[in-house]
Amino acid sequence: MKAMAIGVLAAIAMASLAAPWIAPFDPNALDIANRLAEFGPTHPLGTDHLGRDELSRLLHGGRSTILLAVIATAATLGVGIVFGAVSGYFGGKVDHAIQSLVLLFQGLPRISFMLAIAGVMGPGPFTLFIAVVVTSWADFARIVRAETLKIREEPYIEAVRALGASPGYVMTFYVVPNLIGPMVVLFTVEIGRMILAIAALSFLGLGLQPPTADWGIMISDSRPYFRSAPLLMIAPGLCIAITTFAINLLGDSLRDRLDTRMDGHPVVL
Amino acid sequence: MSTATATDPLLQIRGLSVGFPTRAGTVMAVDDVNLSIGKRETFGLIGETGSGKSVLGMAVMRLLPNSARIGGAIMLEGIDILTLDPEATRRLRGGSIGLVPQNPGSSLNPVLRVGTQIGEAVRLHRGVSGREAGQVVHDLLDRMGLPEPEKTARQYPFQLSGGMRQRVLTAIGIAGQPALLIADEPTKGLDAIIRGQVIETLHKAARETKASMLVITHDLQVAEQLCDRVGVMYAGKILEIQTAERLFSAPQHPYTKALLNATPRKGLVPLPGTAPGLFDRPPGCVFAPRCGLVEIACGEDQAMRGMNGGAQVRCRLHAG
Repeated sequence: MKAMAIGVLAAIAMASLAAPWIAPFDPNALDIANRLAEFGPTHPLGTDHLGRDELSRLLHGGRSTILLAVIATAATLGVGIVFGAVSGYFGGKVDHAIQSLVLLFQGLPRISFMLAIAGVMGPGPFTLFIAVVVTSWADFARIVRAETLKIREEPYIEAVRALGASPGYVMTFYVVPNLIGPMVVLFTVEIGRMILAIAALSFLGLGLQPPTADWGIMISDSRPYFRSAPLLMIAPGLCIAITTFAINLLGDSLRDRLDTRMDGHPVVL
Repeated sequence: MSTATATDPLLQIRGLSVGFPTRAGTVMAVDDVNLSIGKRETFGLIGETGSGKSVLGMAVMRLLPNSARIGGAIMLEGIDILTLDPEATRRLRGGSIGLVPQNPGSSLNPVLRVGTQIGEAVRLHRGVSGREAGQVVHDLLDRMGLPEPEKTARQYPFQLSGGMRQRVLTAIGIAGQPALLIADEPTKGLDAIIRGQVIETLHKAARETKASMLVITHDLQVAEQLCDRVGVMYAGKILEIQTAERLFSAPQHPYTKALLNATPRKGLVPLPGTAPGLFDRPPGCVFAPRCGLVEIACGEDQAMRGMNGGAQVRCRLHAG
């Protein structure tokens, strides 16, 4: 299963990266005369309502969605690690303050808050990025805090404190590196969710803007033609589903491998 | 308290008590402990689990949680370390006082190479860096009897055996050239062969660095083989302090006697009853409920009394 997941992901990533070279058409080239064409030899997956080649748009669409998901997840994880590790390691008032903030952010209604951010900042990829980071960092911070609480009690933390190490040193070289195992798992699991969130926001018109080729936008664009040209919606939908599924599979197997506490052994990837 | 040590004391603990506030009242983990450790002396602290000996060690390292209520004084080279500010405390840890922690399996950071971890101590407390620090690390590993120090320094803790890890930890303990080395249960959970190696390593470490050593252990054999003097701890109090030789040949306190009688050599005579819990410490002599020689006077707390031959005993049998 894991090999399959990695294979599928590798194929999707390579196809997305190589899109400019392997796509048969320019993803934004209009051909109104040929709109809503059936699949055939020239257009393997047909064309959309503006006559753009569906396959080319799919290939290009993977780039923006996956790239944005990776960047947004990394940023969210970064914010989560900083707040979670500080909160868990120092405890006391610091912990209390950060956890209050976490609870506050966890209590925000996600979609409405994202809509609000988009309303203030105007739609676009940067808005999308800010919206997902602001609404997801709190979950990460909680998980990182829980892991930190475990690591804090490890004898090697006491040992390095007995050496006279400062709290900053302990955090940087002892707590955070030992968080990496569970964080890798969290990262993979979370990317899948992030792809869905980005697709959803783009579908609502808050993320990437047309005519950018993006899976969420493609689904949104194809709504009026669902009966006559169902492939226009099914193809990007399948892409999102397969990518998310493969990432989740990978995350699961990584969890099985890394999250079993291997008696303090380092994570060998 | 006047102590009759042959040398000037390096560490002097006066009236030390450590309590932890809980909902059911304050729990006294260490109660009125007085002891001193001379320069280059190895002092052993023996006692059962829960007798407070590790808490005492952590108090000397200033590593107790903030909730601990600490009373008394811990004088190291004339300075009360309980009054130091955080910055000075950090210089003290690893600098003046080195720690060889228990659990060699989990006291090393699994994601850093052992050379890096020894190097931390060297850089922090010796003021050397770079290549020079690397040389010191190799030198330390070599002195601790690890073969191929260059190779070992590049390895991760999980690649080393338990005995090797213990030696790495000892190397870290002496890396800052401490005046006092604290070994907390250095042989806990180790087999007989590795235990022998640990005793040898610690002995070597103390000899080479000219450091005094505080060995906290429940292994009587370690105390006998490694220590110059030994203190017996029970329910937070020290009941007897003697030279190791005399403690094992002529124990004075009824508890020490019972403890030694329970060893295989002396016929495995079990000590009746169990050690008092943290919440139900008996008034007066803490050992009275299990002692075969109880009299009314045992209901009053006894002070440590010096005896002929340098022994100190906390028991009414040795009063005046």
